[in-house]
Amino acid sequence: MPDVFSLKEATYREILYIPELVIPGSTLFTITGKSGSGKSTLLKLLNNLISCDRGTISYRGRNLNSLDPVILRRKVVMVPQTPYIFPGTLEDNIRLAFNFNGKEPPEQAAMKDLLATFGLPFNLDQDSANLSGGEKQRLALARAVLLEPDTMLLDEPTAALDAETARDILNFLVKWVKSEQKAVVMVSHAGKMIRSKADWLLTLADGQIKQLEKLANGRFA
Amino acid sequence: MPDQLSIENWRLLASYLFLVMLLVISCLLRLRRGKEFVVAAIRMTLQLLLAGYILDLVFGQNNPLVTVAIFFFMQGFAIYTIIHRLKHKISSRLKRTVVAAVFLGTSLPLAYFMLVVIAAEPWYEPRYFIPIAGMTIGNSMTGITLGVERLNQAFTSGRARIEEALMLGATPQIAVSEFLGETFSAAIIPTINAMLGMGLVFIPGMMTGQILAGSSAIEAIKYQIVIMMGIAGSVSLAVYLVIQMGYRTYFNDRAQLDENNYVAKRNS
Repeated sequence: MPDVFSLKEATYREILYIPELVIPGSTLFTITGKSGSGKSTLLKLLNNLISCDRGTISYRGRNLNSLDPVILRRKVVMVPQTPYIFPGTLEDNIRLAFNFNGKEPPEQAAMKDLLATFGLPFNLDQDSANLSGGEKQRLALARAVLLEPDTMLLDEPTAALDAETARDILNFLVKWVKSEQKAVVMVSHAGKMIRSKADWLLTLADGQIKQLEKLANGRFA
Repeated sequence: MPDQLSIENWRLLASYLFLVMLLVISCLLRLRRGKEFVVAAIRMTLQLLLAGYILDLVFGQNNPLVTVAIFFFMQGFAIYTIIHRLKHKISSRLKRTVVAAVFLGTSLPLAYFMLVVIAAEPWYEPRYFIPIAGMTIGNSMTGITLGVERLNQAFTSGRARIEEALMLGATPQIAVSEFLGETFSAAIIPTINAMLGMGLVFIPGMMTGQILAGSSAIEAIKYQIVIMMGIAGSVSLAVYLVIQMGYRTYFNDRAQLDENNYVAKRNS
């Protein structure tokens, strides 16, 4: 399976230094660490929302700097910790995401189905302003999944969710990476649930790799 | 045509009673801005006296180079005023954009105006060229200032929205397209309002001047109409250029929000 990302001597200001790291394909790769350890910075680097000062980051074997950043972001979609929900209905939000991504939006039925899978069994014309924090996070995640990217970069996607919903989302992501041969790189507070679902767990401390574990969840170990 | 009433010097001085009135009101309201008002009045007087003498000289000459040089000076002053009037410091890239917007946004409409609309003979006839240039540059200056302010506001308060769009694969242009429309509308509002109120709410300065100088009201109105159209065209073009070129200065060549171009608040 080809690697999705490989980093070599990747340095971003005084915030992050990764001497070497490989993120393989078809994996649920999780990143953990204390606040300020560089987790979100790493995701932004992979999304090319920022560029490293020194070193290289490659995506599918090609240096990120040689790729068109917009085309890269259309394949490697990121969902931040506090996603921005665009004013309008749920459907408006999904359509706008497709407009940004340069794709034709799916049928309404497909939108509705996926929202229901993510615990949002609402009408598509519901105003997104009425959603709670956790619901907004799930809408952002559903928006990203519908885009069918190659890789998703998720910053604490389950932070605002209760344990049951978080488990459902993780199960969905596990299935997604497995059946679609895709990858998810996800920042998350390490817990039992993550350990039981993810393939890799990278722990960052003060902007450096503290530990990289291949987890024995029965799929790749 | 009625004779023009000339203002004797003592009557000119008598008009300064209005300044005294302003100072008294500011004292009554304890505004402590008397000095500012006096400075404004003195500056206005000196600037106009200087402009009057220069215009007298300019109108008397027949050299296109002098007219064009004055035009460039006015543009330069407008650029200086825009950059210093902004509430925020702007990047050098955005400053260059302002220069281009003032230059192109006022030169092109003015050229059309002089050559086609009023067809002045010669094209640089300073009696027409200078006042019309002054009006288009002045109004474009206001439009560009508003445009840059709004653009900056869009990139500061709307940063999360722009970043989200980029993360989802938007090009910088698509990521900011909504803001660009809003910014343009906000920046041309004063011009549109002026057109709506023209002749009903207020009689514009140029028209007043022409009527006072003895022109017929109809002739003055015709001039005012073409001037307003020229101003609308010039403001639209200048604002469009500053917005279209300006938003790019907030991004680097990797379609990332350029941190170096984020503006710092003035320390004052």
